[in-house]
Amino acid sequence: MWVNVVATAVLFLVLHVAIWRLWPSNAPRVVLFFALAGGCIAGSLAASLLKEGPQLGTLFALAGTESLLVIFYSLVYGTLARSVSVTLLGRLLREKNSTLDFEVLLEEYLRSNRFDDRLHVMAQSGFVAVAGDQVALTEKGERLAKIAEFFGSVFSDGLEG
Amino acid sequence: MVWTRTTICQFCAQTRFVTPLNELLFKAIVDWVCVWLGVMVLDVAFLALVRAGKLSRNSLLATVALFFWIFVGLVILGPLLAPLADPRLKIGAVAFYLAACLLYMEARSILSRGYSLRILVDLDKLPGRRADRKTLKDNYGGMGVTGLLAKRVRTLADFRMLVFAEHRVGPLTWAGWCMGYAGLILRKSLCLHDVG
Repeated sequence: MWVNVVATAVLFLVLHVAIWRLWPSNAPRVVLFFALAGGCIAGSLAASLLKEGPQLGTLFALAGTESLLVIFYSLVYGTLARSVSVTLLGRLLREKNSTLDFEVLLEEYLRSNRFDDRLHVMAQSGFVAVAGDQVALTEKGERLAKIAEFFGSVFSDGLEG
Repeated sequence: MVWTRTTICQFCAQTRFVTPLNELLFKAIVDWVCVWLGVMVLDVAFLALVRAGKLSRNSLLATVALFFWIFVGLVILGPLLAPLADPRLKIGAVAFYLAACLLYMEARSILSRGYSLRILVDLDKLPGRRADRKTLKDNYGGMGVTGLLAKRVRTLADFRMLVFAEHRVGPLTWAGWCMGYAGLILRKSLCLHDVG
């Protein structure tokens, strides 16, 4: 079983890096990420079925362990690859003694196109409509905003951003 | 939680819901789901206390509390799974439980610190649900992008990743250095530019 888990994890990582490098994009591509993970887990379960037959215990352990690895990796990917905090840490690494005035950090961030990139990604997903300098919320975006605000007040200390 | 678990098992046995499944496998699933729900209830209650002002607002404290609830869940899950002879069922149940906890942690993080979600909520509150880019940047979360960055830097300081004092950010601690480099390497490997 563990050989199967390791092989699936390696295959997923290789495919993830290869696809992201072949078709670079700043969009989070969450659906593609989880479709890839789902495909790898399904392949692993199919391999186990072919090798050992319908052993429910093995399939359950395999699905559980691989799901755990995928969720853990998605947490790492989300945190390291897309977080504002990691961007700030990365910026400090380029400085001598890794220190910087907050004002300089802020000015650089405001000059970058990171905020606009968020708007662009949301426009691509249909949550906002961007026309020139104007940004408008779509119906789909409005639904997501209401859901986020509600669950933000229940499952966290409010949606602080 | 034990009551919920017993009730679910009895209900499913009566309705013969478990017939097509291995009964032990079904019990393992019920066990991890019930413990996970218990962890969520504990965490939501903790956050309610924070909102009510009974506990201090601190990102590190909230994260440590969540890890503590997850650990408590594992301690409860152990004896529940003990009667299962098949170790594969125990491994599967614990793995699914931890996966669900991580998923909850991820959802909570997005709902608390979601950059894009906050922009959507801000737009939703503006008249006509539209604005120009500058207004959005200035009003981000009621604090503007300046507030967003200040908050992130303070959180990094709370997590002991850097020092933040008198408008001077840095130097990085060992943890901040590792996190920063790990992020840079991952972003470079995945060809992600100007994200975050």
